[in-house]
Amino acid sequence: MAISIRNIILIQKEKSSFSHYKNFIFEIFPLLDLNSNIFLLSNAFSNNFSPITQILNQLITLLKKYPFYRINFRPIHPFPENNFAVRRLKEIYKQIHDLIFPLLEEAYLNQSIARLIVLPIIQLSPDHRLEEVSKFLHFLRDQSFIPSIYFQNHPPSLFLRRLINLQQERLYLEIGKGTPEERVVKTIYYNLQGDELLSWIDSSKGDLPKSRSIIFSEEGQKIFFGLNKFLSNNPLPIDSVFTLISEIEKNFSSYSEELLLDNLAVAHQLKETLCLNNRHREVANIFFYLGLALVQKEDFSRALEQFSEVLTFPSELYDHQRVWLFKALCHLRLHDLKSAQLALNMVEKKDPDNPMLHYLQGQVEFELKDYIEAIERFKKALKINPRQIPADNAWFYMALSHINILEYDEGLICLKEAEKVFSPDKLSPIFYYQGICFLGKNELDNAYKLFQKALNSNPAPEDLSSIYLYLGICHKEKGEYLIALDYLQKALAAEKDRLEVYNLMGFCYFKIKDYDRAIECFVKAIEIDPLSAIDWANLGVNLKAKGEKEKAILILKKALSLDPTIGFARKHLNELLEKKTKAQ
Amino acid sequence: MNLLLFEINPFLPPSVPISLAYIGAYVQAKGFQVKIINIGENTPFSFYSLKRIIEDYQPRLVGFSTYQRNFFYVLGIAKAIKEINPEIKIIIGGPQATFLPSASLEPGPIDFICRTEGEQAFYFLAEKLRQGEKELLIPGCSCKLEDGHFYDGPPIPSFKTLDHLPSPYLTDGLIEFEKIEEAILLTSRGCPHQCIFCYTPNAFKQKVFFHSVERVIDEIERITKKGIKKIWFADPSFSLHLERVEQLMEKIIEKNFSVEIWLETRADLINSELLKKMKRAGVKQIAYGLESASERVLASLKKKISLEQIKKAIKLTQQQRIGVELFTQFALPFETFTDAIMTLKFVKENKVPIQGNSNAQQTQIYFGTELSWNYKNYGIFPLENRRPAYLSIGDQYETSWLSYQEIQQIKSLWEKESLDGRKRKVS
Repeated sequence: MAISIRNIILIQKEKSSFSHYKNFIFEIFPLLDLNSNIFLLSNAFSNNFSPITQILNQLITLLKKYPFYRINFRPIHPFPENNFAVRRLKEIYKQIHDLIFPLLEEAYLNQSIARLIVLPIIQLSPDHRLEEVSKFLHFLRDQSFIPSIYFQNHPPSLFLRRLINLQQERLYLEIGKGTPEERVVKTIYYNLQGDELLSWIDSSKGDLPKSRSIIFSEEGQKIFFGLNKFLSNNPLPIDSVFTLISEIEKNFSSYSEELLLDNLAVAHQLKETLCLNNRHREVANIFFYLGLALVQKEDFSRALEQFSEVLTFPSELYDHQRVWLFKALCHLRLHDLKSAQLALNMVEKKDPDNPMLHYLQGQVEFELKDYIEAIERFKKALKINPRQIPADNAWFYMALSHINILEYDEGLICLKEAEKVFSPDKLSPIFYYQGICFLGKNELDNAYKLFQKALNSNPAPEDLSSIYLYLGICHKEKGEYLIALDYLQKALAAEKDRLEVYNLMGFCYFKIKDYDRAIECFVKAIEIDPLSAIDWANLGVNLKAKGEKEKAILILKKALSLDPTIGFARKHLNELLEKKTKAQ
Repeated sequence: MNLLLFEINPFLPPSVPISLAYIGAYVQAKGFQVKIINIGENTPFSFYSLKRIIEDYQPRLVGFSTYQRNFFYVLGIAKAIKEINPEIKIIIGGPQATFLPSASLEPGPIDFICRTEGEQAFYFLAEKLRQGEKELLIPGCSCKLEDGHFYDGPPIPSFKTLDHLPSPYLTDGLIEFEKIEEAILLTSRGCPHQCIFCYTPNAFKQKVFFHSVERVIDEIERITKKGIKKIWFADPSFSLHLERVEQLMEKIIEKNFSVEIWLETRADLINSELLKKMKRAGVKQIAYGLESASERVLASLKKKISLEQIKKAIKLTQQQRIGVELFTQFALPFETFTDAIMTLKFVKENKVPIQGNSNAQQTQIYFGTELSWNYKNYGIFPLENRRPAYLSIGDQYETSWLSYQEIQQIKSLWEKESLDGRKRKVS
């Protein structure tokens, strides 16, 4: 596991001293990511510059020692209140430029990006004179710095927004509540996590981004791992770097619900800031991909919320059809077929030939048990473009639709196609349904072979019971009741309290004249479903066979009261009543 | 014996390190343990991680893929590795290494420079180290001997075919399938043409070697079964042998692989029948090398292709509803400002969106190219003579026809037209 810290937020205190940072930076540096950000929150940037020069000097020394590192140094400080302070600040930035110049030259000669880039973040309040700010920003650019603006407690005017060149520079909008220091840390932290989310989307695979930020407060020299620890004033227990390593390892080791919630919070908090930076498409992208991550976690309700957020952005900016398709999928998984249909209607209006539309429509029709329409939709999806749909599922559900309307030959054709595209380690359901088709066609030997194949193809634990049940059915059909019972016992071991298994076992015991066991099975079936008329009827027949006539009459009457169409129950009841009448 | 391979590209998202994976598969088949470290933009990696890998895995030999843009970082990591364990031998390979002046690396951490395809050279070196040999003059490499100078080992005869090289995709443990969305496949190596800005013809002596269709199909089969749905054929001229590519497309269609394909080829190596097959096989995008829309400039590049051929290929491709990308450059030899604007106009007129690989880039003058060897004859004036000797001119130059300012102007015109902030996939 690669351990690295991507971001450090240093909080400078009023009477700052480099000695407070020296050891921390020296020890933490080898843990930093090859490409890291160091933020320095300073209210006294121009008054007490000495520690900052020393921090920069230390970073330069470390960059020489580790010549494959790249650091973005981002001082955050207020814009000065008067002209004298502005002049002083300019002097400071000139000194910074001189300090980092050798690294700028190194980058130029190596045709690479500088390994120490200074990106000042200037905090503005509504009282600041914009002309002065504008001049200062130009000065910074001339000195090869890339400035950003941080808006404290006020929304930026259009004029302010125009001060920044959004191609490279950034506008920060203060987020959340708390002390001024907490608000700045929160704002920076959310922006950093937003950047992580954007690179997570770019890389398009892997877990959600985890926080790789730590906060160092000069006051008390405390190290906090992540924002929540900082806000709850919960620093690392000891100042050893080893503790930090183990904290990071813990944090990196697993996915947690908290991580997802953190990223969702980041997305919602950052929406306004990113839009302010003309990054609307990126915001929509974040919501969309978080939606996808939630779909993967099968959290369809929350996924729907994210997809709805995406749809608040205009369709010229984001492909709405794609979003509606995922909304349809979520509704489908939540069994809200009406909403799924509405979402699909939205796609059909604009993109009637979208293969995914027809695939999902097929799923809806399948759920509605309109198997003929489902087959048509799956066929169309596969015809338009099998690459743009889960072709394996399309063939599989088309097969199930055929099976449901007893078209076993067509079912077999579809299953053969599904077999070609299914992952080889997931073929068990294909063989199982092929077995069902052959059973439907009364080809017992073929069916039996396929159920065996399904059993030997690494079936999911929840499928085991059904496979054993159908193996039992094959033997029952051949009159091999003892072997059938053996498989049915295995079916019960895989899934207890399964009605059809008890029913079938009862039948087999009846056939081998073990009426007591048959009765036990039918009683068990009735316990599972007291309204199962057929099991009442079978119970009555077995009682009759055992000679318990009165009981049998009562039970058979009960069966017929639930379902008067069970012919054999009526036949046995009539026989019993006839004998009873004769006897009387 | 453990071997470690590094792919470092700190300015782009990580992609499959296909060349290193080939080397890995080759030496793994010879009984070595191999690990590949793939560091891209945003890959979590620190000095601490490096130290832990070196101490835990204890490689005897470390190899790096080198390019102009990552060389500085390679040297930095190599130095750090030597500091952790000076006994480890370090070899560099890749486009930057093949024609690199040896003397440029004499002081420094690099022990071997691979001058040919990496599989055999890396294996020979690993084998010598395994046998504990002291005299390490390795075939296909320049080797730093005890006096601190590099000496060239004997040449290695080139491959005739490629199928004897084990596949990185069919070898376990080299490709992290769960981390990639797109697989890069090399179905051939080399190029028979002579474009003056390209390193490939000289590196492969204008020869081309191919994998069989069957081998490529086996790889795609494995890739798709691992859930990867995007394939990038990274051959320099994918459709060089029309018949072979047709067979490959037919097989992909027959096998019904659910894949989306991106490929690059020359505009004169395509026809409408092949494009139809490509469409059916799942080709989504084809990138053609336009370079310049000035016939005069094109002719000077020795690309031997006409604008008409390119226009025709674009049209045929678009007719099949396959996306077109155009590789274009500016600040080429003989190119005036007007020529450069013509190229931008050509891309727009042919309805090719300026995004991804269709974002133009300034010509980079790399080692091993005709342009680098004879830059003066091509009107190239380097701007900087203090650059380290391990780097070529790159983009630090003016031409007889364009000043530095004009080149920057052209760059910003392209930037303004870009739909995606100039994110290229292939550099």
